[in-house]
Amino acid sequence: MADLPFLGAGVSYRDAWRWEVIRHRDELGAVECIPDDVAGAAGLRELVLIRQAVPVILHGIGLSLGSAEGLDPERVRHVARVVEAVEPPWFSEHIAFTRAGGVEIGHLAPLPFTREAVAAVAANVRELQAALAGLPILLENIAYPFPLPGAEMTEAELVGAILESTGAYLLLDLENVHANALNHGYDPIDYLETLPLERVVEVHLAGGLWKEGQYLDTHTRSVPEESWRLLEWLVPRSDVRAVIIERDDDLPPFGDLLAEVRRAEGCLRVAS
Amino acid sequence: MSLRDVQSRLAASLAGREPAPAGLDEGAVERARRSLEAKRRRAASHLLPRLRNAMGDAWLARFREHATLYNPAGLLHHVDDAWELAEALLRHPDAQVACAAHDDLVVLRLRYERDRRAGAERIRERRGPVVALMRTPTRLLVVRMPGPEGKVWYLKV
Amino acid sequence: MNPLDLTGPEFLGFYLPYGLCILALAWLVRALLYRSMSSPPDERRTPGTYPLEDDAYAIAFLRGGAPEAVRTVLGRLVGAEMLRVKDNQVRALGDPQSQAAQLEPIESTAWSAFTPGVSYRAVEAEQGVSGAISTHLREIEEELARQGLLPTHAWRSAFRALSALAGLAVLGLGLAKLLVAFSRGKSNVGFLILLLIGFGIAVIRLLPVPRQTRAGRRYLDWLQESHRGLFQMFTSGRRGGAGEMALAAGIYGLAAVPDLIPLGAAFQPVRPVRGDSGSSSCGSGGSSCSSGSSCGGGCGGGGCGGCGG
Repeated sequence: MADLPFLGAGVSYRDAWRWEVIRHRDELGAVECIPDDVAGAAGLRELVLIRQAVPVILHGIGLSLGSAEGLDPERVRHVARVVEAVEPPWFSEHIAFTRAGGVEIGHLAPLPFTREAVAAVAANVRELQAALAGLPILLENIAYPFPLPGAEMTEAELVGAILESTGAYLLLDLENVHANALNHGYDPIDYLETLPLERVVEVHLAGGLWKEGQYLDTHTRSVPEESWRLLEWLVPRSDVRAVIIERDDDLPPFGDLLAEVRRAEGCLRVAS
Repeated sequence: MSLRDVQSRLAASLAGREPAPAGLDEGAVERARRSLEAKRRRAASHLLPRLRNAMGDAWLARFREHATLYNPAGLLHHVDDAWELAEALLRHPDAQVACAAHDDLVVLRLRYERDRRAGAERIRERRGPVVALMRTPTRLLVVRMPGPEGKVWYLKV
Repeated sequence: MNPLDLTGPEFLGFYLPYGLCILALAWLVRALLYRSMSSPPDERRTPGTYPLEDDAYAIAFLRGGAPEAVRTVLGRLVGAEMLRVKDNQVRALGDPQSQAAQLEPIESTAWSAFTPGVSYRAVEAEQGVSGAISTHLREIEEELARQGLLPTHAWRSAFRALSALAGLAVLGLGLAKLLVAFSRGKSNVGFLILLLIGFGIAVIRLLPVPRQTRAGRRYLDWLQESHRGLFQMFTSGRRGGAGEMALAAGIYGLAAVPDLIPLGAAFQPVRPVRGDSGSSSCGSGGSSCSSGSSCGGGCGGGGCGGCGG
């Protein structure tokens, strides 16, 4: 982990921020881009131009690392092409699945907390690691609206087992921790304490909203205070290299995001 | 049930094709299904603004019908989703809706190509030229030059 | 054989291929000269190194020489609401003392050419500012030449000499024949005159002194590609700061910034108004237009958030 660079705080990339990211390049530690949204040479060129201004990290959403069916070779090849063009310090994806039985879910669906799920993720991550020529892989915990039956372990144990069997690092999404804790009734700190925090490399922060009695991690609001407190708890206990503020919709003025980036930088500096 | 079966059944229920697998909170699965449909619908609204406008209150129900019948695929599945819906509405009895579908499709075609038979990369960046007529809000002849970033000209006619 | 003694048709049969060969040779030599203009890349002005807003004037100079740099400075002052453009007139506003303190040296020098409250014709304003900032412009030109982005004096002289030699070789012979024809009382010289005009235009179009070096052209192309987000910000109707306006104007020209279009128009000669079937092209400055929806990358389908309502 010593050779993973420290990037600081940044934002997830949106087309609408194309100029803002370049304009505020000195205030951003990194920008996180989704390779699934890259269409062809023009899209790749776009990422390279961004990378000339600010470090770019890549975050996949469609590889479906939790699929028992295995990986889609075309998508793996696509990710490898983007990685080759952008040369990020690491690549991240999710502990989830996004397609099965010919159906594209369009979102991250949860895995059962079972040894079979651990094995499925481990096999897929090994295939991905080979395709990305040993680039460090980060795996992200997701917010799940419902647990699947037949659990053989807790979610934290699932995450720990997957990291151990793959050698991957952890992209800890604190807003997902916050959402799951609210929706499934547990203390987020208790959850965090059972994770292998020494493997946390990157943190995601975002804001969601309540709907029909559930807290949804929509990435459409400012980061709530509860998630900031989790970050402040986490940073002295781990070696976080990057914090990304995620905002997917209801985009505010970029200055608002920069304020959150500055706050995240402040948290990182306090610990160092 | 094997992991493969659980995932297949869950994916089908989230797409509205099957009831929730046994042992799952049906209400939670249904909420998730509605949320996923809303997410698809929002993505389609961004990509088909004229159609969204033209359909007004009918947009919700029509998209629900589409979401049940069509399973988008590939890397840019939200584009595939919108494209399919727009194509289906090209022959809508309401001329305004058909026109909006046509014009939104022109905009998509300026940027992408679609090959329904392809797998992950069924939506690719457009390289070839495009010549098309748009009718809303004014009549425009649209000409896209060949190349990955072909210049686009809008000529009033 | 003296070509001047050839008959008219014989001379034309010789002169046309002769002229084409000379032009082709000169064009080849020019291409070789252009490729030879190389120098170590400057870290500050190289593709991949994003410029600062203060670089707007150097970029404008690189793109279009002193006139573009002057117009970009004027654009900056318009953006800072120190100048207002109306009906081809540029009017200076505001209190010179308080606003000048916030300006860069070149901007402040340009501002000193104006008297607040006075209106100027756009051409007058341009000439006044051009004179006022001539030292700054010279420094910019020398800096760009040192950085290998503009041809040096020596290179420019070489290109001019090539153009002059080719012109002399082609047009000189044609003009000499024309004089000989007139001295012999011949008046059927229409085709020769047409060839002379054609060759003259060709010398001017094919053999100009290059505006930038190869490195300069590459840097400019990279700037226009990498700042498309800035361009799109303005074309989508968002108002940027004065510094952003200047940078966009420097890279793409005044027409790229809606608030500066009146200023750009003020420098154009008055044209007759077109009919209803006028066409418009989207975008300017060599950038491709955004193809339709701003969506595609990261819109809707991107991100890994949960599903909202």
